[in-house]
Amino acid sequence: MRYPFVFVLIIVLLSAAACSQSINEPITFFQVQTPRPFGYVIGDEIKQRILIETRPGLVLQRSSLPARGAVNRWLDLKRIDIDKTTTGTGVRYRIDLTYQLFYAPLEVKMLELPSFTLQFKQFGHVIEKKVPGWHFTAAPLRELAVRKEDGKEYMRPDAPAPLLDSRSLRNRLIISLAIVLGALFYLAWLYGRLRFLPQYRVFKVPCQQLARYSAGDLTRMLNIMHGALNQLNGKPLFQHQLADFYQRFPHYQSLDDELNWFFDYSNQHFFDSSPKGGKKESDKIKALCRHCLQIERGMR
Amino acid sequence: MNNQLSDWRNLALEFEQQINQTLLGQRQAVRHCVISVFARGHVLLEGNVGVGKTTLLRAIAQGLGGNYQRIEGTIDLMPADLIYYTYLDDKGKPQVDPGPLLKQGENLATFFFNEINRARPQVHSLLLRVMAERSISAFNQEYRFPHVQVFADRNRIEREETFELPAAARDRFMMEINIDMPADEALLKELMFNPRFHDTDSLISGVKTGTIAYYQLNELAQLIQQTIQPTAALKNYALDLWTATKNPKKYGITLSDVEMEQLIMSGASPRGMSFLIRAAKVNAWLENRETLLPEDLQAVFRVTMAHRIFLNPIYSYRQEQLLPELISGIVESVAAP
Repeated sequence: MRYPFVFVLIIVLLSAAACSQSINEPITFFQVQTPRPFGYVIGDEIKQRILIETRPGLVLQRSSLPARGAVNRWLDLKRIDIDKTTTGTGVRYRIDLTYQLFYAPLEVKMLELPSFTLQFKQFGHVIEKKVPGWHFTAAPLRELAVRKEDGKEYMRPDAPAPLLDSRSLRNRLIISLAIVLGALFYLAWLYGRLRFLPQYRVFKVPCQQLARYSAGDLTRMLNIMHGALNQLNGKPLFQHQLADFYQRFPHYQSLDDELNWFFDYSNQHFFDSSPKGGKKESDKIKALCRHCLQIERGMR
Repeated sequence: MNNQLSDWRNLALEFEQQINQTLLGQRQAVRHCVISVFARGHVLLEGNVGVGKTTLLRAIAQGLGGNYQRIEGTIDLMPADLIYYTYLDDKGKPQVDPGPLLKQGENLATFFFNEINRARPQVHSLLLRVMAERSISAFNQEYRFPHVQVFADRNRIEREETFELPAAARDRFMMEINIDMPADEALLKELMFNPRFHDTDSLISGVKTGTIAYYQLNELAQLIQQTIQPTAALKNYALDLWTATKNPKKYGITLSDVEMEQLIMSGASPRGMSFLIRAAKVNAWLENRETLLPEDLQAVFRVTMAHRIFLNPIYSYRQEQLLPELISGIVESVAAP
């Protein structure tokens, strides 16, 4: 019967010890996670992660962390990320330190991330936890063996990485762009925006020519206007063909009165034995040409 | 426009309207016939069988009044048959009487020649003089018919036992008018079912006679020609049209599968162009204008020109297709001014 008593006593003592430890210890969990300890070359970044769980109320002293910037001649601390979460039993810190190595060894060399001491504060008490140094090896970028006598090239850059095959993507892009351009061109044509096309340039020159003439040159003015209308129509345009003309060029329907007046006046001028006309007529012809130009440019 | 011409114009339009009531759906052809009456030109009608060619001619003759004669072209018709005919009278004596041409003397106003292409060339040549000079020589004297207007018709269906009109005879006709069936279905139904159109004789007798005095037509025609005067611009336009009948390529006229340089054998004749201007002036008068416009020339260009332009023999088999295309090409391509 004595053995079970001893056994129970031991269990009680052990559990009491365990309990007292979890209650009294300010830092309940501490771990330093480091990457592979070898194969670093100049310029590499080394990430060190420190995980700490403390009892509630302990506050990490940020000043105890190494400062950002040059740690020593060959090591820079680039970034410090601290992530603090409150858990049920205390506070959990995750500290990510990113170092960059500037050491250019001539041969494989053991180096050390320096150790430092983290400080926590509670009610004026300072609790310290040392983060140990971490050893790793750095390798030179250069070739180790010097074989100049072979006439070999040293310090070669890496072979460029092969590019992804983008031909089909490029072709699709070209086809899509062509379709878009075609559609835009068609739209522009539809809305009469392509003013450089011959069909949109019928009335420009005649209007300029008409502006130069006055009421004394009615024959010439009529000839110019007839010429422009004939050019637009593709063949000579006569008054009785106006309906057919409007079917092909519906925008000019709005000028019906003016065009009929023009043909009537032209008939009178050319085929009547006593033609008459003056400034009023010449102005009307110029106005008609201007209106035609506006229609041609889609502005009317 | 002076009053006399204006009065005559009203009569002419009434005359046209009467014929249009007799002959449905042929307004264009009727207008051309009326123009030819007042321009004193002879007319050749062409079209399919039974479309109303003869009815149109009879209606015109009835409307104009005056004496008229008609003759049917047959293959054994000889020129003498037009001038006289012989028979035995009731006493058994041989008699010679004037034929259809001479019977009415100077009063002959309208002369029909039905189915003219069935007559022999000898008959055609007699007709040449009647049409051009309005006279013939017979029985050792000259007979004159100052008021005569010749209407002839021919059908396009049959070619057997027919004689194509020589170019000279065709050129003496002012117009060659095509008569086609009307396209409007309502008109076709009317023609089929309205009993009025079944009896041609009663239909023709409905046309009022004597609204226009045939013996005044020559004088009136002269007045019209003198009153309506073309301007320099129109003369240029007419000259361009004439040039285009000879050299269409100069005006950018092209037909499919045709070498334009080789197409035309001979263009319009000076007589043809004078007919064109005469007809155009009458058209202007009917439109109540004293000015001659390009539209007037265009209105009568096809009917006065189509039978005067002779194509190169290598294209003659396509004549019926090429000529209308050429004519409309000329009308559409020659600018005025």
